Amino acid sequence: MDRREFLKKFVALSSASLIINGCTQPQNPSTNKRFEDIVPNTTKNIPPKKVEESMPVAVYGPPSYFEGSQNE
Amino acid sequence: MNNQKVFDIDTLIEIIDHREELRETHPLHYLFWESTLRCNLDCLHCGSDCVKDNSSKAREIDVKLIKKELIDIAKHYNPKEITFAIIGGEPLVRDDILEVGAFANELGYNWGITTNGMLLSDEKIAQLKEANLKTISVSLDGLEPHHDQLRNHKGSHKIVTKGLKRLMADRFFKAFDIICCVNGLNIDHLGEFVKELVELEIPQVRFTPIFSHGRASENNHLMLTDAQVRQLLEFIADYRKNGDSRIVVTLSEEGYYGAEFECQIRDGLHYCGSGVQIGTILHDGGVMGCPSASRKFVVGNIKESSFVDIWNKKFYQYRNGKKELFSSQCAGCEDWILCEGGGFHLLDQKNYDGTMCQYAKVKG
Repeated sequence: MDRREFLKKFVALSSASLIINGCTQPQNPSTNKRFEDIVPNTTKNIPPKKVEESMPVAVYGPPSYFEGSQNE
Repeated sequence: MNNQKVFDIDTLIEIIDHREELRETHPLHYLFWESTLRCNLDCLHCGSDCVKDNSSKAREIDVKLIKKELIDIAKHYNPKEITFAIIGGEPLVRDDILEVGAFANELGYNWGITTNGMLLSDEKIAQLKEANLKTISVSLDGLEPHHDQLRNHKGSHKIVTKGLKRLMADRFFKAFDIICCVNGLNIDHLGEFVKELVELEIPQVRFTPIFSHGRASENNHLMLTDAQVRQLLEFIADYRKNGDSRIVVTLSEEGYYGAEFECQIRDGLHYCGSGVQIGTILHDGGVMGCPSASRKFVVGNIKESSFVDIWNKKFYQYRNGKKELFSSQCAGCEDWILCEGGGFHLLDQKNYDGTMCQYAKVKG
């Protein structure tokens, strides 16, 4: 199976799973406004395609805090 | 709260291509310093090799050496784009971590700690604030009886809770979460636990399923069955959709869980940046990807070469050599392009050859 075929299947299965769980509207990650100053919002100032890996999440480390990106 | 999303195919392709670019450029964004192996607790489920005695103290590197490396790294990378995470053992058993944290802050790094919360007195919190600590994780492993049992210390839950109240009263830091190790004792009580965190006004909890490493491997009754791993993922997915909006519930970067769960348990897809964006200086000066990985993947020592030199020349197996490392189990798996073997720390641990595939636990 080539890459695009696999991804097509992945998207279909992901969508189906969300619908089964009662979430039919694909949405952006929520931001909790009350705490947005304290929980890093990785989508705030980073170009969308860079979001996934611009703020690495270390398994047992404290949350990434990327001052540079938030000040841009 | 409803924060699930599905990525479209073009976005997924961009993400995969970007990961390839990261392997080539390996921009350091997260630097661990395992300041000590000493700890003031002796937890049943500890995933590290920390010790309660001082037997490892003689191996700890001098703060002068870590400061020298921080200066050098800042010449090659923008420290404002690096989280400098001081961990242990328990980092707060070393008073000089505050000196290093303040020094890192002066250089522009965003520094933080992961702590068991036992030493979060008013005085210590004031010192952390003075040193401009930016990010902090506190370990709390469930309700009082479960936490105390796991921590092997009656009364520890009460002590940590007091420390959390102090932290929540003066939110000088920029990022915070609770790390909760999910295991056989607390898996059926996660809802009550999150409710307790909401009452404490905790903004985020990161659940991390226990994995067989360190002392955890000697306590099999704490291990999660495959059904319990699925139970955890379903709990997180459901809470993110229907739970209290005052708290963010998420899963750690433990591994890849397939199309059924990947879009529902974190803000993004699984990605392990160990050795690509995440580097570690160990208590004895050893250098590796992330500190949870098997110590067989230590690739150098700052007593012999600079961190930057090691980072640029010795990390092949974490980057383009990764596929080869995982080939015995992952060859032919169509999910590789998104999974990439899951967390690097799942590979070749003491009691397990090969990787502990998380997807296999929930694949059905």
